[in-house]
Amino acid sequence: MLPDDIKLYLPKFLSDDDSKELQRAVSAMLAGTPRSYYTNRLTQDPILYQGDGIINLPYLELPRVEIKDVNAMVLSNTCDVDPENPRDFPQRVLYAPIMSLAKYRAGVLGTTGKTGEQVDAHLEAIRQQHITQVFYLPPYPGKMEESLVYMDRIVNIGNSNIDRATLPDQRIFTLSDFGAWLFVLKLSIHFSRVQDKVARGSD
Amino acid sequence: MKANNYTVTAGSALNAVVVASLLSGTALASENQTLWPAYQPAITAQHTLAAAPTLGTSASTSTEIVVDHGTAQLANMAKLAAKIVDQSRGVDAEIGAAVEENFFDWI
Repeated sequence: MLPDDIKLYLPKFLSDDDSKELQRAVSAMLAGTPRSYYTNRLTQDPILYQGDGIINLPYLELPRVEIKDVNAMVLSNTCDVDPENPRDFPQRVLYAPIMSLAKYRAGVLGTTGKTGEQVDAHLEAIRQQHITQVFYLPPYPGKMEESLVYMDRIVNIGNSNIDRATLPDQRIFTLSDFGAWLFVLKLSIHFSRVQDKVARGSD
Repeated sequence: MKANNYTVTAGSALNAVVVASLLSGTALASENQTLWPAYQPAITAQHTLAAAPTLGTSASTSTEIVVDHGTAQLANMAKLAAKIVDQSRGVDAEIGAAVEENFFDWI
């Protein structure tokens, strides 16, 4: 790959410092010592960012019809749900529920025959981002304990139901450059495996 | 109204996973099963490539090793993407069944 081509594959909007920080975070993850996934820089922005954690969004699992309010992570692309971008028809916001890892551990331990060691090995795989449909969220001190998101439990809501004026108060976290890159990587793996080993034919 | 464009990160990550998936394959395995051999691509340097010759010019055949910031950057991102893709697996069947049954009550 030529150097000019390489630039096509790197985020173009980052400052030199941010770009270097992203690289440090990538290197740290490779070394097994991941950095924080979160940023404080955008906390007060009235913009709903992809990967944001939001409180009190309705959650349901069809065909079950009960609804409960949960903390949830936004999967929609930032641009798609930005009201500043004109649309021919309103976009809906996709999100999936956030569950604390402690609750998840207790639930799995209480409903399976797995030992504590086996469940902890499963949780470690989640922390390493090795489980295809799960995105791991490290603890965010003062805001959120370590948690997970099952990306196959997506719900949608009308964009206008998320009030941008009060968004800073509803937001638990916004992902950093590294966190956002990793999140989209996991979304891509979950939804877009190019070689799914299925010969579909063309006839 | 201002039109915002936030698509570049997504594009970069998707490109990385496309590169990783093309390098290593991305079939889904369970926690107890690996469907492809472990493969860790090591990208350490890039050689300049010979430019396609055009009439009246000679092609460059330099083999000088070029390692710039962007190359190292992409190599690391591709390496991490490949590592995650390589080790991706589904949820163990027993845990999966428990999650399916109880997730709504746990949350």
